[in-house]
Amino acid sequence: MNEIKILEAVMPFLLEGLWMTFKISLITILCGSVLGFVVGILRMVGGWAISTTLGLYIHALRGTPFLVHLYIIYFVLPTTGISWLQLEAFPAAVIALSLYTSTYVAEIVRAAIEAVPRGQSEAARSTGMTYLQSMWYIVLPQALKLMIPPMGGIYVIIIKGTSIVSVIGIAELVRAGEHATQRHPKELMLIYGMTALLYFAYCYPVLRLARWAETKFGSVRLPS
Amino acid sequence: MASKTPIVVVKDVCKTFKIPGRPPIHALRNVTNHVNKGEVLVVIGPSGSGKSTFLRALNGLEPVDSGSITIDDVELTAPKTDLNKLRQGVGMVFQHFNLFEHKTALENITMPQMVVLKRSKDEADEIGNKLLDRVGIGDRGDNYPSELSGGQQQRVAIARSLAMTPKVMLFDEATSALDPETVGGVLDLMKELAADGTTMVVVTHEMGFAREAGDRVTFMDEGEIVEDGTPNAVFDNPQHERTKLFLSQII
Amino acid sequence: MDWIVEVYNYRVVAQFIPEFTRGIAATIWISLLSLIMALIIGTFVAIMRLSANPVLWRIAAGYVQAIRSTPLLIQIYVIYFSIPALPLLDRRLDELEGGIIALGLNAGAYMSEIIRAGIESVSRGQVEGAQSVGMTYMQRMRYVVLPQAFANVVPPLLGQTSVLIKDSSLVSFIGVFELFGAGLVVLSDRLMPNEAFMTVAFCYLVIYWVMLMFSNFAQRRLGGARR
Ligand SMILES: Nc1ncnc2c1ncn2[C@@H]1O[C@H](COP(=O)(O)OP(=O)(O)OP(=O)(O)O)[C@@H](O)[C@H]1O
Ligand SMILES: [Mg+2]
Repeated sequence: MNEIKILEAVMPFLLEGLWMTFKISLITILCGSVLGFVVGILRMVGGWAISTTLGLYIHALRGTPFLVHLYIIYFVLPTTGISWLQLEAFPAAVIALSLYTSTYVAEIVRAAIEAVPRGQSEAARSTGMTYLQSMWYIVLPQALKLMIPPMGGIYVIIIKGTSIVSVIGIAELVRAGEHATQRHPKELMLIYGMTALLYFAYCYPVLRLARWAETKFGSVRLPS
Repeated sequence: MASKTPIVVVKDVCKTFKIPGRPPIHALRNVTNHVNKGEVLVVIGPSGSGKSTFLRALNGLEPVDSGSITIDDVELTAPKTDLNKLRQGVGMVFQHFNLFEHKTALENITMPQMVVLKRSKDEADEIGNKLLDRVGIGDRGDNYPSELSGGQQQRVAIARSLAMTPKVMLFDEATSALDPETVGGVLDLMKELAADGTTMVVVTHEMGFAREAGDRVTFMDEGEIVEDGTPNAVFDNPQHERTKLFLSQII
Repeated sequence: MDWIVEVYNYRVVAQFIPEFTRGIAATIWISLLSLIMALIIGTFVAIMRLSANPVLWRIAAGYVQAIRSTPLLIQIYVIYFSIPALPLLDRRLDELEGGIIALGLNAGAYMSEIIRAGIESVSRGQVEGAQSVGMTYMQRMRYVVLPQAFANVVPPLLGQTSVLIKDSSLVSFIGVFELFGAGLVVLSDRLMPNEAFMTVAFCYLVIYWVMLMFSNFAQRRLGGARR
């Protein structure tokens, strides 16, 4: 009985946190995909200097925890003194998450382009198309289809990643849960359990949708 | 050469594949057949007629729905039969070789001897090398399957089966995945085995082999044995319309 | 050289070398223990998911889905804060134990998927080849399926281990001292975020690079025999 009362009391706060989680993840998947798409394509078609630089960008972000990215963007950048690098928590969180997301998207772009059979671009080239034309008209449209299912996996990675931005004070779901436990310190299990359940309710359908898309469109592997 | 002692006895075997949402496929319908010691039985028939299913049933790779199969007086279809033990005495050569990719040619032959028959490494090596010589690739023992041609891989697969000293050898289209120029060599090897008195059941589309090496030919269609007899009888004087149609199509 | 000190005061960093060293050691130790736990869990869960028994299969699938659909941070909180509420132990889990268990359970789910895919990637023909010479189930697993699955599984498992190492930074949320925690110490002692987190980032990059080299080496060694 007591549990139900407590849940009734904290649920509005948790749902507000979930709403924030939803907003951040939605903005991030948009920004991160665009950025990752550009990075991925440039890395494939750009010259040696561009692809090496972008390769380093991906490795640097892949080689360090997201928590470190977040701290560098939120705490280190402002010490440069440059005014537009003095970020509020919300834009800092979205930027950090988008950079992180872009590395996954870039890898998927590459895997998808490589998964399109060579014969496709060779046939295009043999009709007299340039390299860029064969990319744009023949290879990319086929690669795009392969990219749809793994994007579901990336979206879930983002949702889970938003939990970490609680540390710079953003009132998303984990933060809401922490607040609730401060008010009801005896009910840690109940509140964190409920928080986990809300994440599950958000992520699980996305994963199922991705699975369904995979059977429909085929897929490339999501890098770990 | 072939004696009258039956070593494989198949009685009234039925097998149906049921796939949800589709009509069931009757792969074997009341199949009755036998193979005598030293005999070479060749099974022919159109694609999808149940030849592979029949062959795979003979070593229990494909469990059957009803009927009985007996190998050297051991009833394969009895529920308590130790299939693994039974398979030691039944060699099988696959269309796609199925060599162990992570083992060299020689190891493919020695590993099962050591693991299954508990032979010592020295003994297994000696037998393995002898068999590699016998199948004509004594110099390729240290190569991995991916480094061998299809014909060479199939020779290793045959040697792997022979190493277990099987009572009967099953061949499922052993040459249909090979390049045309290597088919002849593998068929010659199979003819040698036949001439040595090996009991064999051979599924093949090579009618020349069937005529030359077969003691008996069984023609299957839609899961049934339609016709059965000596190669001359079946090829030169087929009794059934379906057999005639099939033979006219493939020649 | 003064401008360097302006941007990145290496003298301050030098004073904190003991902290960073302890941090790196702790990160490696935590990752190693969780890795062992994850590999054990991963293997069992993979075998459960491949089994014909629907109960085992359901349990394993549910576990993997639950882990994949919730953030690691909340898993750490649930395990560290909530499990002690269960009357299983007569004492609380300490932070280190809680963190390692959460990391192990988390990585175990992802590794089970890798191991399952590795076992499934060994073709049906390989199993039938082994059956046709009379090998038992255990012999087929031991001599044919697992050795081949191993070669397919090691490179992605090393990749997942890199993720585990990065993820271990999250145990700093429940107060475990490790590499990221060393950065937090510098931040709170000197209020120098640059020196703190650029150094932490650098250390993680070195670990990542070592893992990358190791993974390339393993791939060459394992792939070499087969192609
Ligand atoms: N595992 C299976 N599941 C469902 N149906 C199967 C399976 N194996 C075989 N069949 C079906 O059983 C029938 C007989 O197949 P089988 O492989 O024995 O034919 P076959 O005579 O060997 O043909 P081919 O000459 O093409 O090898 C076919 O209709 C086939 O589609
Ligand atoms: Mg067949």
